[in-house]
Amino acid sequence: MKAVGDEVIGKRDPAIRFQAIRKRFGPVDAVAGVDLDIAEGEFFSLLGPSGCGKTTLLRMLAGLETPTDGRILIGGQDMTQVPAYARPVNMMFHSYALFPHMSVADNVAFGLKQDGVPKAEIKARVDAMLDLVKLGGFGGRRPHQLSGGQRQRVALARCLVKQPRVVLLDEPLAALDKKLRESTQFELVRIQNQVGITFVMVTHDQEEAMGMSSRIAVMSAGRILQVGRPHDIYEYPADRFVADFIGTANMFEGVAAADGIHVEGLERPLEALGAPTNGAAVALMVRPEKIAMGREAPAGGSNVLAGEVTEIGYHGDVSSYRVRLASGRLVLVTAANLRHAAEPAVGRGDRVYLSWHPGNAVVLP
Amino acid sequence: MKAPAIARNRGGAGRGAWGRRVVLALPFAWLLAFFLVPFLIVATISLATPRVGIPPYVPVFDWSGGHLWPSIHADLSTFSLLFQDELYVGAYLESLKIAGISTLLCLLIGYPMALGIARAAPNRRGPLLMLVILPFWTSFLIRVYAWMGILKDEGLLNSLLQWLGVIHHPLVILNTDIAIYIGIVYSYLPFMILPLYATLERQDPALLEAAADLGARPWRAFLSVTLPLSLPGIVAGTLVVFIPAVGEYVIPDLLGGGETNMLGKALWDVFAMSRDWPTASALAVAMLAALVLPLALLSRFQSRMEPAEDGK
Repeated sequence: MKAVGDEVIGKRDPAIRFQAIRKRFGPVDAVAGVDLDIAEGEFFSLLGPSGCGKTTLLRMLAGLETPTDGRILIGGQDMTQVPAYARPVNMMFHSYALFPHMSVADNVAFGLKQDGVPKAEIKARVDAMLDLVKLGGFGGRRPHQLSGGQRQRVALARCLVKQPRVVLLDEPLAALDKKLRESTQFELVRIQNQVGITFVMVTHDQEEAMGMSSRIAVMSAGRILQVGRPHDIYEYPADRFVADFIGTANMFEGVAAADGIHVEGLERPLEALGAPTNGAAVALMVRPEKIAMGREAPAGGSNVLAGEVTEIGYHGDVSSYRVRLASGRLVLVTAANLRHAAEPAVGRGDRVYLSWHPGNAVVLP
Repeated sequence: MKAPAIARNRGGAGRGAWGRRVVLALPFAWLLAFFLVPFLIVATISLATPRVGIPPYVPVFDWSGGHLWPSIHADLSTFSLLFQDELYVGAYLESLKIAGISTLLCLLIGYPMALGIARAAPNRRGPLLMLVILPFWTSFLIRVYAWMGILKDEGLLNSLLQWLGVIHHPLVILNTDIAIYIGIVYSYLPFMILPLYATLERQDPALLEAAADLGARPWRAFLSVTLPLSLPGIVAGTLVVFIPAVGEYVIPDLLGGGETNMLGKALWDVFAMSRDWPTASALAVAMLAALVLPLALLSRFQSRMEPAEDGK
């Protein structure tokens, strides 16, 4: 897992380095030993279910929590003991935390005032930043006079205006409705490209993380399970948790032997590339969209399973099918709805054959 | 899905409007009967001319002429007397001064306490608030008498300080203004703490974190975020302490030795000793007028703050 990170980071000092970071709350380790490098200019996501420690990690980076153990370096400098107000890091809070008694412009100007920036420069920078987030002319409003999406952009402007080394985003899109969330994803990436600042985002939404990030760290129970590009994490998950958490996965648990992976209830062993042959217990993971489904058995293919369609979910662009095998095992298949309307669709109760290329299956320990 | 919900709301509002009127009418009727009517009586008496007799004033409205309308014997001289007599002017100024300083002390002492309680762990806030409210369970009068025992020359405080060797001769505190300040601040402190706590406890802790994150040191964050957002609490606490403190009678009488020239005392003297009801009533009306003005200003200010408040 380290190799992927090193390759992206290259020779330069990382923008952020976590060294053996641990945070204990009472009897539990919210963060249980994290080592992580984040490169300059990355859009990095910490992804995991709630309670996995991702927010605690972000708050330690901001200086809002002190690690129990370990060191945090920002731009090569040890920041572990530096208080929040002195760190070159600005955070966009989950609730946005806009100051309700200040105008939009005063909210954005707040950080610059703390640094004693001259008044004329503050005004110029605040105006420029409001233009960047497309809120020019809204400077005089109060936060409560704005929509949720506008508040979100004020919060973003407020943490960008100080030109920090790192911008931290705590579930930045969670409070927006679905349509706005999608357009805001692109907007955030556009802004990040434009300002070139390192972004670190916390999210529990894998689609969000996949769509926006240069790299993702998948966390669970205070640990990082895998770090990599969205593509790597989806196609080559490091373990069953990651495979299951990111996207949907069909798992075939079995024993690896020389002729393939023997799965209980299947007539023939499943073929997989790079599988061990030593009799180890492994899981073969196949994504639903990698499985081909047809009414006739494919000729001479390996990994062919026969079954019956029990449920169909129609999503417009794609449909998802639950196929029950002879053994009773359910396999999820998704297929793009490419056929034209006159073609007969696969219906409930139809007998179908499932198959996939061995290269599309991943063997997990 | 949405339409029936809206319709139901509207129906609810229709029924709610009636209920709301009834709920509002009751306290209004109460205020009318027990505040406005007595006030009008007092205001009327303040316009009368004093005399020796029962009642000790010439009625303002005289119905004895046998007409449908009364003949009116109104007299504004009592009010002009208030502004000419140094005793009354002095009492006003003294009352405002003592109430003002006491309110300021309450604010300075109460704010850190309210902040401390609001920032305490949630399971500790209840007990801490309880400690603030606890004194109310003992009679106010008894607590003021207790302060006499503490503050007198051979009282608890002087004995303690002498025993500790801090002082050699007892400090004279009782029957001075200092004793009045101690008494008022002690008695009214909870009224300052409670509204302050209410606004401070509601504040989103993320706002302070955001201030720190944006580079504000703790003291700056307090001044630019916590303090302005607690203004409604400061206003409310100041009002509920200042207004009754202006008319305070028991504390100056018992702890101040009765020599302090405060309004409540002056009022009592005029009313009971001189039996000059019109002048006493005029004093009361003038005191109310003097208090209503700042009150109106403050409530205007507060309603201006309001929209910023729910803008979270």
